[in-house]
Amino acid sequence: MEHFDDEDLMLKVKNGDLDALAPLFEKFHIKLYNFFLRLTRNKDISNDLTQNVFQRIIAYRKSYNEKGKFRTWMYQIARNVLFKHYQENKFLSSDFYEPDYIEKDEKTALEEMDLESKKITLYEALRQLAPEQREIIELSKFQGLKYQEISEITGSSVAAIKVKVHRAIQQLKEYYFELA
Amino acid sequence: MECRNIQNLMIDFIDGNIFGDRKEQIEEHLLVCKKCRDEHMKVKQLQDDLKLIEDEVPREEMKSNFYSMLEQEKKQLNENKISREKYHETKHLGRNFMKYAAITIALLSIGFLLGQQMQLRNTNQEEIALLKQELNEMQQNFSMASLTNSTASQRLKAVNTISDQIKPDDKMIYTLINTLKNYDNVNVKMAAANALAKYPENKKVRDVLIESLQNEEDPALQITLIGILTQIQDKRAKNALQNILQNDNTIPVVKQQAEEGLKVFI
Repeated sequence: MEHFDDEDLMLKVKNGDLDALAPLFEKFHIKLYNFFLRLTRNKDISNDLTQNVFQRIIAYRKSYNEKGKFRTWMYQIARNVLFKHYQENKFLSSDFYEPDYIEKDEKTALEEMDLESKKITLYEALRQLAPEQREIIELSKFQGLKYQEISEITGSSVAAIKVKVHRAIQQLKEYYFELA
Repeated sequence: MECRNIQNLMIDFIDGNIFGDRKEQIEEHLLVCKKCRDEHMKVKQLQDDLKLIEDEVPREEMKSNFYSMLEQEKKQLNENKISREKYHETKHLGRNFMKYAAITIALLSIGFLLGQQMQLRNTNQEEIALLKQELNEMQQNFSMASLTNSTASQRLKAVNTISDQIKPDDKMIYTLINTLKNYDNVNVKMAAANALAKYPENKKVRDVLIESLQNEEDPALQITLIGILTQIQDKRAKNALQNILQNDNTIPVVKQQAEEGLKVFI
């Protein structure tokens, strides 16, 4: 089978071959869904927002610059979708972080925790972060993006991103060990 | 290294992005500093535990939603394409025409350049120049012949033919002057005057125009001459204009024209 990288596929989409979007969807939709899920804590909303991203990719395909990486462009769109969602649902925002399945146990030492409790504690610690810090952790740790890529997505310099990641990790560490 | 520096490098150290001497320095420091060892343990624990958080699999409906959305978008794109093609059909035709025109011009240019290279150029141009000259002469001769005899309409036509020619010779101007002075048809005289108006740098032309203004009595011809002379801006026309103004026989329209013409000379 012929192999296309993400940029080749997106270029096809740009030129009107919408079927080329299918492999991109298959490759990225779970990552995107979890991006929204960890940041909104809501499955239905994350479902919609993921769909939204792919709709926008089609709608704005002409503006895709083939010199740029598809992945960074896609995350730019994802961020815009999320931002727009926050704007339109200001009153709901308090619900986003309502943990619909996270129930915090009483504090135990981290070493004694089972995996599930550790996860729950981590989610809670993440919830306490400022939205900007939560996003930077999401991009760098969960989405596995390099500083350079995050810099392209957010428009901050690589050096600034590095500082932000360090601060967010430090903050998360504080919350995590407090809760444990 | 101080604890502060160590802590700044902690994440990079854990991520394995620090090498060589620096790495050794940090390792040595961690052996002796409990505070930094604790810090290292915590950050490492956090980094490891973050890996516990795995991606959740979305519900199956996400896929089906995506593919039905994709089908819809494809359908819409197709419809747009068809309507756009219909709309732009004529434009495409036009574009094709332009394409062929461009090819034709390119071929012609190549042919022309080849022709030049074959050094046909000189003889060709000489021939063309010769033919042009002959044609001009023929035209002039015809005009002269018409002017010197024949009917008013023929003379009129001849005068107009001459006035279309770019470079008149003295013989032709002389013929025109004669026509203006001596011919008795007003329309022919007017045409001759208009033809002469194109050669204001010729002194004989200016003289005959001023002379005619003083002598002619036909109002239409007078108005034509006033117009020409004010355009030429020959100061000698001033007297002629004043004479017209003072002449009791001059009709009011001509007087008015003369008055306006005089303003130009002041």
